[in-house]
Amino acid sequence: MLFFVGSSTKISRRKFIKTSSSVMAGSVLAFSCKSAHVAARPVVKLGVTGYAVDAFRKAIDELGFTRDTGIEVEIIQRPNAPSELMTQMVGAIYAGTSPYDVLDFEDQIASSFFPVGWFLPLDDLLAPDFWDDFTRPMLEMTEMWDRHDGITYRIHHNFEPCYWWYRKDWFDQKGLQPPQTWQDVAQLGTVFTDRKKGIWASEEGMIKGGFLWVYITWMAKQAGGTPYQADEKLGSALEYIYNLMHRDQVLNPACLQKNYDQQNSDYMADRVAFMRQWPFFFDITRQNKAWYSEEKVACALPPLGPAGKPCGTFAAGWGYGIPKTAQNVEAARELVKFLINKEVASKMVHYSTWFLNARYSVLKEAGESGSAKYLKMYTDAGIITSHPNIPKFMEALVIVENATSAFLSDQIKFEKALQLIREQIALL
Amino acid sequence: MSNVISLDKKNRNRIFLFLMLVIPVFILRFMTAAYPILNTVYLSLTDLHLIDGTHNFVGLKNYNILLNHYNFQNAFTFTLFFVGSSTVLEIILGLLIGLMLNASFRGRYLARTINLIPWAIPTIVAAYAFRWILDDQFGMFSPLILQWMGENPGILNSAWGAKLSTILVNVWKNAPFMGIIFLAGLQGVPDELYEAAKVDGANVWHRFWKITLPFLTPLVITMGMYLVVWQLASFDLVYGFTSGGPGVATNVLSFYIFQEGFLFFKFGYASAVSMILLFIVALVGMIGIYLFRRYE
Repeated sequence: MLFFVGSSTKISRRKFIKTSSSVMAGSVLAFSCKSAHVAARPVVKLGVTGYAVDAFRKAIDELGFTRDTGIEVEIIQRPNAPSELMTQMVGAIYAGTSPYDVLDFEDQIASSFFPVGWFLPLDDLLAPDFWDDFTRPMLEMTEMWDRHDGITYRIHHNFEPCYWWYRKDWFDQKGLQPPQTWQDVAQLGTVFTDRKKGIWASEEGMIKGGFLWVYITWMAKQAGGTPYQADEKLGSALEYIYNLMHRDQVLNPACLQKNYDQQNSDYMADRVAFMRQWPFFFDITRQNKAWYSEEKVACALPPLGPAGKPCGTFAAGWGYGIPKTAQNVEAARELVKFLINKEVASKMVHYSTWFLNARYSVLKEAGESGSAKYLKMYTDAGIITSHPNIPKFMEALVIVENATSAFLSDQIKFEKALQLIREQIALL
Repeated sequence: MSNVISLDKKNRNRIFLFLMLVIPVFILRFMTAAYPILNTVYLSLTDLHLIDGTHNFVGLKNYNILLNHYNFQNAFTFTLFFVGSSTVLEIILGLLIGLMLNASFRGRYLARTINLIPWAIPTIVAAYAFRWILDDQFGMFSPLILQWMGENPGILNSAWGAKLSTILVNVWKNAPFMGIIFLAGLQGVPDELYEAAKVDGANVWHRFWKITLPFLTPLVITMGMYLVVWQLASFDLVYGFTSGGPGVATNVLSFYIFQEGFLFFKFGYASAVSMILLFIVALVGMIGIYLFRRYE
């Protein structure tokens, strides 16, 4: 019997069966080889934020993780916004899976996910002398943000204090030194602010969505309090900010609806004399080559509030953790062990400031390069503290922002703002 | 007897055909509309919290909490104000745009196309753009305000400034679309009526009130209802433009639901707020249907 293919080709049934069998056998063999290859080289999925993808890829490739362990690393860009990541992870964990085996994530996620046990403990990965490499502020941050009930769930690789930036050229012109205290700052409105030209002594990104919370936390810490405890310390910080805005003409009230892009643009348009900002401002100003000079973007120790030196500024950061529903836990543990290793962690700082932190080894390796000199200056001055943790951090953040934003924009009275924070935080 | 059998068979076929046509639609609507609504009703009576892991029946507790909650009260009030004033302004401006585009002038087809540009811009893009446009330092209006007032107070910094700006940006975005809808309605009005009215001595104003508006009333009601329902769910404008601030001045219910549900994972409470929103939509729908039947 013959099978006809097209109009001119014909093959016998025997030949057809032989050919088909060969093709099938070949396919199965090829698939088996591929499977064997995959099995031999497990893949670990590392979720990192968008702007860190390249730095991670380069560092992991060049520092030889795959060469040493045989484990491939697939770097996946996670959602940048913590709220989106939380939505993604909550769904995944409920479904018993995870898009990432290792996740690089911020403090907000930590406070929500550690208490409910959605990440795996990491203590058994750490060498006995591991914590000796950590400076006091880093240890404080670890205790506050990476541990729950004494168990470590995350290791920081990024440690970013809020810095105080100022126009040295303007201060020099006026014969002034950077302000040392809150009182000094309050005097600078009359020196620098010129409302007709749109110039302000200071600005902030204070729109709701995390921006305002940062500033309120910074000031509350300087007052010796926290944004969640509606006591006289938070009260004094709020009154001080209100006066800077509405009485002393220091802080531009329009900041309440500005984000960091707007704040930075104002600074680089010569409309701001000084401000608090995260380390990324260092890179942003240097990218603006037409405008940049060292005198325009000087960094000094921040003016101190009533709580003095130990609470001069606070740091936040990112770190590695393993979701409990990770699909490849063993490979994930290997990767975390590699990334937090003293030698690797200190070398990674050369790939990006994203890996800059206050571990002794990292500070030593970074030396005076980039913003590392400012981190060293702040660390040596002993002014860095951690920001306070609270269960249900995201809810607390929104409560604080709603009340303080309403107060600072004259919608509610001071007492009402504190009352709202007190009552709503108590309900959490 | 054979007649009865053949009739039954015919009926059976008709019933079978009926079921074949209706069941897929019924299943689809049940799964995508009825079930989610019923489940939301149920969830609103629980304390489901994905992170806490709680899922208990709590009766009307969520409703009791939200009715006494400062943030909900603000969001509820501003939502009604935002939707009500936006809808009225969009209908009035839409009518004016429709009348203008219906006039005979050179380049009217180009004008009709250009008119739709704000509507074609994604809301989130418009929201971010307007945040910059109203920026006190780099905004489009900043030099004018500075010249006029001697200083720039920052429109978005005051509660009323932010509320009015949010409404006006929303109107700017949606009124052109209303204009096109009303233009279509206006083109259905017979010219003979206008000509007869002119012969009877009716001026422009009279012609609008006695001919144009009565013809457009069903469309105004339908589109008004559509706008209300559509804008009750408006989320992206507030999210991108003001983030609900300053304070909670521009917080709307949909943004509030997003926060409670997808930031805090309080699905029980967020479902209760959703039920309030659903109730408002249902009420508007019933009023709309009543008005439509009356003026049709």
